[in-house]
This record gives sequence, structure tokens and C-alpha cells, in this order.
Amino acid sequence: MSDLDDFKATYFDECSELLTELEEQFAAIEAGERDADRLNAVFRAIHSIKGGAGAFGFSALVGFAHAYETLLDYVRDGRIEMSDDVVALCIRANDIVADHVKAAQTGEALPADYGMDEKGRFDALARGDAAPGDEDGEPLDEFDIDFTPVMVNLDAPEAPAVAAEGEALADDAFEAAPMQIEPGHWEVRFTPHRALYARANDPLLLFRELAALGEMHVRPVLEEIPPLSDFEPFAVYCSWEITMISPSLTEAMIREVFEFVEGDCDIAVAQLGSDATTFEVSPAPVPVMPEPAPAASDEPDPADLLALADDEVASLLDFTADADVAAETQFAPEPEPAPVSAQDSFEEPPTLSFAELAETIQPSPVAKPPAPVAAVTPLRAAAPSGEGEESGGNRSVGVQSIRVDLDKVDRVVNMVGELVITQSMLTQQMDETLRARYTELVRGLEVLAQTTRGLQDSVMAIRAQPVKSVFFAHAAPGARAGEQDRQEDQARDHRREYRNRQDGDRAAQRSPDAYDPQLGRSRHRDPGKAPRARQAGDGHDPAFGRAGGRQYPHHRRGRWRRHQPGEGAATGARQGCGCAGCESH
Amino acid sequence: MTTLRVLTVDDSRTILAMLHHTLSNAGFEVLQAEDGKQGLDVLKTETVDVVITDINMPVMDGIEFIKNVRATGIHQSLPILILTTETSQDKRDQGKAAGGTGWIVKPFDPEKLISVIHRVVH
Repeated sequence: MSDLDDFKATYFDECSELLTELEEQFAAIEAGERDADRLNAVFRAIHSIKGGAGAFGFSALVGFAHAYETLLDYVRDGRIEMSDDVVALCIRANDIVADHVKAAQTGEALPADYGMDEKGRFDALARGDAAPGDEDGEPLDEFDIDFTPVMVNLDAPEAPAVAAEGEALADDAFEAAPMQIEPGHWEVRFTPHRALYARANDPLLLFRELAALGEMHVRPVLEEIPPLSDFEPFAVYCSWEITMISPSLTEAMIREVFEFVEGDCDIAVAQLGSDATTFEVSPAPVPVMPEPAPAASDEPDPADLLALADDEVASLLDFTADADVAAETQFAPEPEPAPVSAQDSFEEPPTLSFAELAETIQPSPVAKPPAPVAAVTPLRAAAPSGEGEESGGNRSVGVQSIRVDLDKVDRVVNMVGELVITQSMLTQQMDETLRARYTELVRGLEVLAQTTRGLQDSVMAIRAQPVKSVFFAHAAPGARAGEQDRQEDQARDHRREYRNRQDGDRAAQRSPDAYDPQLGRSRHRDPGKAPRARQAGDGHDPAFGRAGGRQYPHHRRGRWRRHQPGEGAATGARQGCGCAGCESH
Repeated sequence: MTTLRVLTVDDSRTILAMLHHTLSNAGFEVLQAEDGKQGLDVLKTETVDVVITDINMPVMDGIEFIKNVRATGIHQSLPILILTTETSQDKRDQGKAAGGTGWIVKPFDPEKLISVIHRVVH
């Protein structure tokens, strides 16, 4: 079975559960319980079905689920009322989704127009209540930064137009566009905003990605850095001018690099035809600060403080720069990341200049560093090494159980059964002569026997499945809501009854050397040996005993009988058989 | 080279399984959580290099999860990628507004997934 088949099997299992949940939720919704939790739950169920369907290319299912999901989204945010008509439509839609899932699973082809009527009604409902164009999303009002994207496109071959635009942008660094446009030579002006850092983006990573596109030269623009007295610790003062040279480079490739930070920075891309001295002839970048205070003569130049050495830039960006260009290329480290404390927005927090700070905290001679970064290290060191730590692979921290396809468990159970039989046969072949001659082999067989028994016990402890859904499926739809506790009690009683019965049967069956074909070994136990104690948390309920005894015909020969469609829930979801032997966790 | 640790947060077993398969094959160490609250619990005790989270989840959705992560001082520079679909521009924007670093479009191509992760981690 390929990985894809495995994923599909997981997906269809998950679909069965989600469809069952949809059925349960809509039973309650139909009964009048239309609270936000239920609406969110049904939305998530359809969303998950759609997400997986997209991964496997089940386009018909994706199309229908998307329309359904959109309707549910509108219902849960109040744009559409969950009227009885809408409920009825959704219940019908659930059946259609189930049919699509089944068709995807079996490879059957549904009629092309299957579900189109309902989909049309979804679309009509969504159109009727939603403002035109509203589907495209909500504006980021609270996070919008006063930024108007500047698109500098010098692709136009008409030189006069470029010149006219250049006059209009007289104060722009890119005004001095060369007359001759050379393909593959791009200038990029990149000015990050605070939000860029607050969302854990990093200019260095962007440069690294840009550098993979071709030859790159970076020049930091540090003229906006104010004198130290006016320096705001969390403000962003640094921007960069980047020259990219590559014959195959396009503007789209460059902009794709900045895809994640769109809106969190000013980005201007221009195609130029000059040589690498372009930035030298460019005027100084336009100061963003109203009055850029020149650095006092007795203060160190901030550029000197922030600039990295050329070789540091080269090593960080891993590109070979022309020596002449590198000599003038300076790369400033990112400004202080803005430590955003607010949960809801990245609005500018009240800022204090150093001068103001000096006035307010004069008694304090030493300012504390704002970010206690050192706290990270002890936290990691103190991290407990749980079970997942040892596995090293899939750490499912906080998740105490996993779901495995029943067929896979069955295969393991059967193989373990075969292993036990083989081990018993080997042991029986060892007569006294052989035992005396091959003591090491005997010792090895004893270890094998012990290990096999342990393996068998472990496997038997996991081959069970929940019984709750069976009770749930048999309950009257109207009686489902709010009865979960009662059903769980019922399941508990059922389990207790099973335990009692099994204990009785076990006592009746306990005869020396009674060989149990299902267990694959003799039930005989050394009378002098107490039953082996089980470790807590090994997945086996000591009071419950071993699942899969002879009392349940469909458990014979160590296999679970698969439930037939229609036997359990109407959706055909895989269900437990209903006996307490199916109960485990 | 240090193995990068990725926390994947999604209530869909299918998506978690596919992420785990893809990331493990690419040499990442994968941690899993089934909702935002579990994800936060993981981050209380584990250090990860990047987080990949779905938006629509029970208990605590992805938006709240991201906001909570960002509100934690030590996780302000933790890259968080949002799992989104082509048609969920609004969710992508909400996730980004909450503090998401970037996004991964479902259904994801394995190579694209890895390249996106490398875009946001050192």
C-alpha cells in the first residue's frame, strides 16, 4: 500500500467520523439547538472534508463542499439565518457530501449535475445576504499601516513617459532612471515596517531568498536613523536598496520573495539598465522622518554602528559579490524587532525617545534590556523528556492516543498469532537430547517465548474500538442531544456486564493445557506463578481483561468482522459491533 | 546540522499525517497538536523552530492560537505558517493580522511546503 493509499484510507476514516458528527450536530440543530458551538462544529467538519478532498483531487467533492462551507460560514457569522429551510437544505447537503465521499472512495462516477440544485441554492443564499464583493475578505483595518504600495514600472519603452514620471517623482530615489533599459537588471527598494518584525519575518531571510535568484548587491539606507537622543528603540529606521542581476529574472520572481511581507513593508521594484554604480548616482533616499536630524559631529555615525563587515554580509548571504561593489556594500542588521504585547493589534505603542526616557527614569543609571531572551534557554533545558522525546520522530505531545486503521491492526494480530504458533512449535521440537546439547539455543527460545507472550498481550490490548458511537447511532435522533452522559453510563454498564460474564467464562474454561486457537497458545499457567502485573498505562484495562474472547462470534479466529454498510449509522461509518468487547479506551 | 523542529497544529488527521510524512522525509522533527490549546501546551514545554497551524479548529482556533503565541514574550520571533486554501484569502489575512508569518496553501505540494518553511527559518 503506497503512502497515498494510506493517506486516503485515513481520510476516508476521518470522513466517516465527520459525517457522523454532522449527523449528530444537525439532529440537535433540527431540534432547535443552534448555538455558535454547533455551527462552528459543522463548519469545521465540512471544512476538513473539503481540505482532504483537495489534497487528493476529488474536485466534485471540493466544489460542493466549498459552496456548503461558504453557506455555513455566513450562517455562523450571522449573515444568513439558520432557518428551518436552511437546516433542511443542510441535512440534504450532508447526504450529498456523504455520497460524494463514497463515490470518491469506491471510484464510482456520480452524475455531473449531482447536487447542483443544492449548490445553486447555497450560492443564491450567499449572494442574497452577502454584500457584493464581500467574499474577498475583510480589510486589515486595525493593522493597516499608512502605506500606499508604490509600483515603479519602468518597463515602458517610451523614454519621455519615464522622464515625465521621473519629474513627478522628483524626490524618489529611482528618479534617475537610465535611458537604456537592460533586461535582467533590477533595482529594489525595501523598507520594512514594524509589523514585519512583529510577525517574525526577517529581512535577512528575504535577502537569502533573493540571492538565490541571481547576483545581488545590497546597500543599507541608514540616513533615517536619528541622533541617539531621538532614537526610538522600537521604531524601524533601516531600509535597503538591492540590485539584482540575472538574465532570467522577472519582477514577479522578485515580488514573490516579498509575498509574505506584502503590506508590512514598502517595496518598489524597477528594471534598470545601468551598471552596478546605479546607487552611487542616486540621490539620497527620501527621509521618512519629517526633519531628519543630522548626526552630531561628536556622535558616532549610526551607520558605522549598525553596518556589518563586508565579509559578514557575503557569508550571510552566500553570494559572490564583485569586489568593488562589495567595498561599498554595507549591510545593516535588522532593527530591533518590535515586541508586540497586545494580542489584538500591532498598533504603535506609546514610544519614548531616549531624551524622554532620560527625564522619566533619571534615578536609574542602567536601563534594563527590554527582552529577556535568556529566558528561552532555561525553558528549553527544563523541558521534560517525555515518551515522545525518546522516539525522536513523531512527537505527539499532549495526544495520548492515535487512531489506526482496523485492517492494519488485524494484520498485526494475525502475524503475532502466527509468530506464537511458530514459537510453540519450535519449543516442542526441543527434546531432552537437544536441550542438553544446545543450551544457548534453549535459552534463546525461552527469551523468544517471553517476548512473544509480551507482544501478544500488547497486541491483544490494542485491538478494540470505541462503543460509544454505536449507542449513539441507535438512539432516536431527537433524543440524541444532551444524552451523552446517559449513553456513556449505558456503555459502562454494558462493559461491567461483559467483565462479569467473561470472568465467569474464564473460570469455566480454565483447564490445564487448554489450547486457545485464538490466543495461539495454551491457557495453562504455572500454578506457582502469579498472573503478571500490568503496567499502568499500557493500554490494557486489568479489570476488563483481554478483548476478543470466544463469547463473541464475530471475534473468532482473531479477526474483527467488518460491519456492513447500513449496519451501523446511516452514513456507513465504521462502527463498533456493539458488544462490550469492542470497548477499550 | 541541527534538525529543525516543526509543530503542526490541525484537527484533521489526514492533514497531520500528510504533514508528518512530508516533513519527516525532509529531515524535520515533527510535533503534533490537534487544536490551538494543545499547541500552546506544547510550546510551554518544547522549543520549536517553526509552527504550521490550521485556522478552523475546535477548542481554540488558529487565530486565537497565533495571538496567544505572539502574546508570549519568548515566541514573538517564532515563525508561524498558516494552513489555508486558495479561496480563504480572508482567513489568510486574519491569520497574518494575528501575527502569522506566512502561509501554506492547501493542498500543498511537498516541495513547496519545504521551501516555504525554509523561507521563514534560519
